[in-house]
Amino acid sequence: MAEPARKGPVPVSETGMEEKLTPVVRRIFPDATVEGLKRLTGGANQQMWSLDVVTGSKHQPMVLRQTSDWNRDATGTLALDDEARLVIRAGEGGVPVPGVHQILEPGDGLGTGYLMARLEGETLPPKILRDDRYAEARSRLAGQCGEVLAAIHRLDVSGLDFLPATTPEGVVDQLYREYQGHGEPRPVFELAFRWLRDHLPPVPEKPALVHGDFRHGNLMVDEGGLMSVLDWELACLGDPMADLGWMCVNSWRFGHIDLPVGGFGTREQLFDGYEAASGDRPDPDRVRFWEILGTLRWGVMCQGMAASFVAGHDTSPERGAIGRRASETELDLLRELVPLTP
Amino acid sequence: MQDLPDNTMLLASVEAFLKEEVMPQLDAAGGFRARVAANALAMVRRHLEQASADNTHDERERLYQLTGKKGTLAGQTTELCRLIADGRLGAGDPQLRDHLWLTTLAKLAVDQPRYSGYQRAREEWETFRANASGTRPHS
Repeated sequence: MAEPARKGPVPVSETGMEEKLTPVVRRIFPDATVEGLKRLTGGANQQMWSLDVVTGSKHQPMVLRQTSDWNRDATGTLALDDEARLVIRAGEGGVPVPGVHQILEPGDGLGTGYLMARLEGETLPPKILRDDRYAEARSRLAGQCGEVLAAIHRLDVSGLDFLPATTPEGVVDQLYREYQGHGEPRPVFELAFRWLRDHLPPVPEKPALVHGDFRHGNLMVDEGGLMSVLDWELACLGDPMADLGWMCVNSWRFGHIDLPVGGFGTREQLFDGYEAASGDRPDPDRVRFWEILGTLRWGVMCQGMAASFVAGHDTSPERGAIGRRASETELDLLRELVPLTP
Repeated sequence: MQDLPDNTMLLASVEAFLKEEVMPQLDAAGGFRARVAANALAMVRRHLEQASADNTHDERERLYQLTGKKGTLAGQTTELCRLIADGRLGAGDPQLRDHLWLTTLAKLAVDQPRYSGYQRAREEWETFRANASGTRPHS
């Protein structure tokens, strides 16, 4: 199938993809071929492809993360070539990440993106939280999350000028604008915004790299525990405790409400791992600020799903049902901010 | 007040999913059952559309007590948001506390009664009401 003759088309034809990818993989291995290409996920603006790069009898499993050029304007997310540069830096700093093999170039005609190693591991929360094979992993996962977060937060970010700098107040203001944009006033959210503004932590003296979406789905696990940290597109410079708070949001506990770290561990385990790796004990109040902000952030994201359903952009039952999950975050916020004391 | 999208919109979405995506993939008998299921949802949806006119009496009354305003539920809720944003009503106000808890618990009973936070919150609310002496929670 012929691709339209314009720059950076959305590749929908797997045949065309293979032809375009071959020169890219040959920058790594001169006589390599592409086999087993298949689309894993993706909507209009971002796709994931699985492929094997074959040289002689050697098969290298890879993933292509790729987006079309005209959809690069999503606010608050890194362009994929910048994400690749960050992932490379994280790997150099000892953070477990998939190896980056190649960054797409404009002449490749594939938009923006990169080729990385395809790892074998589990990211689905129900399996990680329930399967017997991960029992051992679960017992050490929270501590490992602390250690890996410490490694992320001490990464040298010199030269990574694409990372946006944030402050606690700026993050709250941005979220408030997003909430107001949905045009559906919610008293519990207003109360939470008010609380956040009254409890803003000071701007850290030295802003650290923040992963920005450190939670289930982006954490790949094997029997030994945390094996890889994925999806770096929400990374920024800011308060490192934001990552610890986001990790503790009740929505990622999947019913294991008394294990605040992803439904598999305690805050003490997380803080112990962080302290062991960094020498700094996280301040629980500061982490709590970011947990409450994270709960509200997920609530506003759900509200955004409802708004897109109501506006007719996506009227699938799934989208509508996620929209109605904003009320879950309201209850979590009430339990934190308006506790029932007789 | 439940949040958006409202119940009838959700039902309409599932009806469309059954008819447009599920039915074409089924054999004749399965397709028939899917159509029946969609029609049953349509029945429930129509009933809700007719009956939902005023089942929010308590919520409106609480909002009136808090804001001093009558009018639509959405208008009263917006006014409450304004009072909270201005700092004129806060977490320390027992009437606001009771209103937010009751309203949110009622939403979750429809949205996601199996949510861990809901189950825990219901226990907390019931214990709180049982223990409350002197100032009886507003209901």
